[in-house]
Amino acid sequence: MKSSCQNINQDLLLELHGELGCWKRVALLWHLQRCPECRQHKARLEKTTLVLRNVIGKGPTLRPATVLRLPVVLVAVFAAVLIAGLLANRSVASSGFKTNATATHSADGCDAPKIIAKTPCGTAAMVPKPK
Amino acid sequence: MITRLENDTTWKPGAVRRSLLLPWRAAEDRAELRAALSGDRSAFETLMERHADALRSFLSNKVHAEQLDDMQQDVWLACWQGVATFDGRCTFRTWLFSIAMNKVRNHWKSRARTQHEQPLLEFHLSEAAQQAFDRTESEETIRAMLNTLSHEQREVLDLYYRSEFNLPEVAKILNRNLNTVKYQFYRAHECLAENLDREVRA
Repeated sequence: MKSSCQNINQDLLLELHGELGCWKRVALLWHLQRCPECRQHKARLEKTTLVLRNVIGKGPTLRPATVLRLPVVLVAVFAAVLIAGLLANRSVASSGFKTNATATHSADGCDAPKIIAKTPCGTAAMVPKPK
Repeated sequence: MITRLENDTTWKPGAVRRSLLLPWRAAEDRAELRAALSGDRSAFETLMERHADALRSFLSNKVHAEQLDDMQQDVWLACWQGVATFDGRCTFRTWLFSIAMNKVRNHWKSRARTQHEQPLLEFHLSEAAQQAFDRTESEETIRAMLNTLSHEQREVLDLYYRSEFNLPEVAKILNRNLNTVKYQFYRAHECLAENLDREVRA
C-alpha cells in the first residue's frame, strides 16, 4: 500500500458510515476511482461493518452531524453562479460580438472624442464625462 | 458462519439516513425539560419513561445484573439534580448517557479500589447473530474476537452500534476528542477485519 493510501484508511471507514465531510468525501471518491488497493480495503471494512451490525446492533440511523451544512450550501451556490457567469461570458465572446470602435469628434466643440461602438444589435455611444 | 453475518440488505454503505422526526423529538425533550425545571415532576417522569429502556440496555452490559436497578436510579437522581445545569448544546439523550457513563466509571473505580475488579463490557449478541450461529464455538469465536479489542475501542463500538449514537455524540459521552474517537473506531474495525480474515483462512 502506498504511503498516500495509508493516510486515507480511516476516511474509508468514515465514508462507509456517512461520517465524512463533504470535501473529503469528494477527494476520497476521486482517489478510489484510481486505486484498486484502496477499493479492496474498503470492501474489507464493509464486511467487518456488516458483521458488527449483525453481532452488536444496527448503529445510528439518525445523523444530525452529517446533514448538509449551510456554509457548504452557500459556497456551492456561489461557485455555481461564478461558473455560470464565466460560461455566459465565454459564449457571448465566441458568438461574434465584435466592436468596431471609431473615435469621432463631437459637434458640440468638446475636445474629448466620442467613442462609438458598433455592435451586431445596433450602435451604442460611450460619451466620456466632461472635464 | 461469518459469511452469513455479512448479509444485510437494509444497510447501504455511505448512505446518510436523515429523519424529520429528529428535531421534533429533541424539541419534545426540551419542552419536557423546561417544564421539569419549573418544578413539574410529571414532565420529568415522561422524560424518564421515554429514555428508560435505552438507558437500561446501555447499563446492562456494563454493570452486574444485581447492581443494575441501583445504577439506573443513581443516574436518574443525578439527572434530576443537575437538570438546571443542562446547557442544551447536545441532545438530552446524549447528556443523559454521559451522566450514565460517568456513573459507570466511578462505580468501577471504587470497586477497583476495594475489590480489584476490572470494568465489565460484554457484548450481548443480537437475535440475528444468534440465529446465524450454528455452533456455540462460533459464538465464542466472535466473543473472543471482540475481547481482543481494548476497553476504549469496545466502548466506542458499543455506543455506536448498540446505543445508536453517531461519532460526535460518542465523543461527547466519553468525554474524548472527536479525532481520538474516530481513530479508535477505525482501529477496532481494522483489528476485527484482520481477525475475520484469519478465521476465514482457517
